[in-house]
Amino acid sequence: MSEPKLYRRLVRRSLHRSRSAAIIAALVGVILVAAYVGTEATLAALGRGPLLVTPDAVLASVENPEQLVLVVAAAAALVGLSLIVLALVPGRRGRHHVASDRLAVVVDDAVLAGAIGRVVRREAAVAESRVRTVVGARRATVSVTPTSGLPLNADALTASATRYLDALELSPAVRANVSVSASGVVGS
Amino acid sequence: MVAGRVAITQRALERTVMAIAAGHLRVPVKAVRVSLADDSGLLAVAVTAPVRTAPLRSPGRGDGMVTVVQGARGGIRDDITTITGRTVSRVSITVSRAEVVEEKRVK
Repeated sequence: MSEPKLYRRLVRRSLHRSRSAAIIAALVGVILVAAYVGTEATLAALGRGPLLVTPDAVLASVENPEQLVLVVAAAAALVGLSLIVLALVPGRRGRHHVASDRLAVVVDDAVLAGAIGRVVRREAAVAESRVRTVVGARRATVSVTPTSGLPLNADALTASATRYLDALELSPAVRANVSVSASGVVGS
Repeated sequence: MVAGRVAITQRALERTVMAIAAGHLRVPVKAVRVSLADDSGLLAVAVTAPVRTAPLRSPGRGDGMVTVVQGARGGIRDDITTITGRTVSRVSITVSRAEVVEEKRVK
């Protein structure tokens, strides 16, 4: 396997959650049910008594058999639906891929948030505690609390954050949005 | 430009505004009280200070007290912006007491 191809696979594996846990759980369930049904079928074929109870006995013991069937069907539908959702959602982890010539680089979103926050903080010349950054899959939201009497330009801050993100060449790409809160804090 | 930033604490700002207000109102710094607040990102200044005034019945009385205080507000705002770099949105002055200046005889 050539290196870029290997890197692509490794990066993909780091960015997305594995589905093996869900697959293992579902298959173990199927195996248990199949083993039980198989055992009971074999016992019935040999004319022996049931391991637990016969299906007829179960239905006879319940007052309203249709309702029981309905409940079991609903539970099965719920399990099936959750498995479909697990299969279809991207299962993204909070990480981004950073472009690099030589290495496969994956950065945690918290690290990214810290870096973007620092860029904005430097540009705005405010204390660290005045900048709050949240990084999502495709958007980085930065909120800055200005110092009273020193107005900040949200557009200029957004531009500098965007410049920083463009240089990183993240994938999936992240758009920066800096907002300056309406009220400031006296003293810095 | 050199990296880094200049931080001015609230206390330092208050002391600066106290000195500026005292200078404009011509009263001792100790007699002036100042409170700073945020006004939608700008600085709102509230000053409580005594005001010097000539005796009420003195013949050559200067401007009225209100005129003097009104005139001081603009100067205080401009000086705060010049010295601390903060944009001031409001300057409110509460006159706590009148300091009557007795005119002394020239000896």
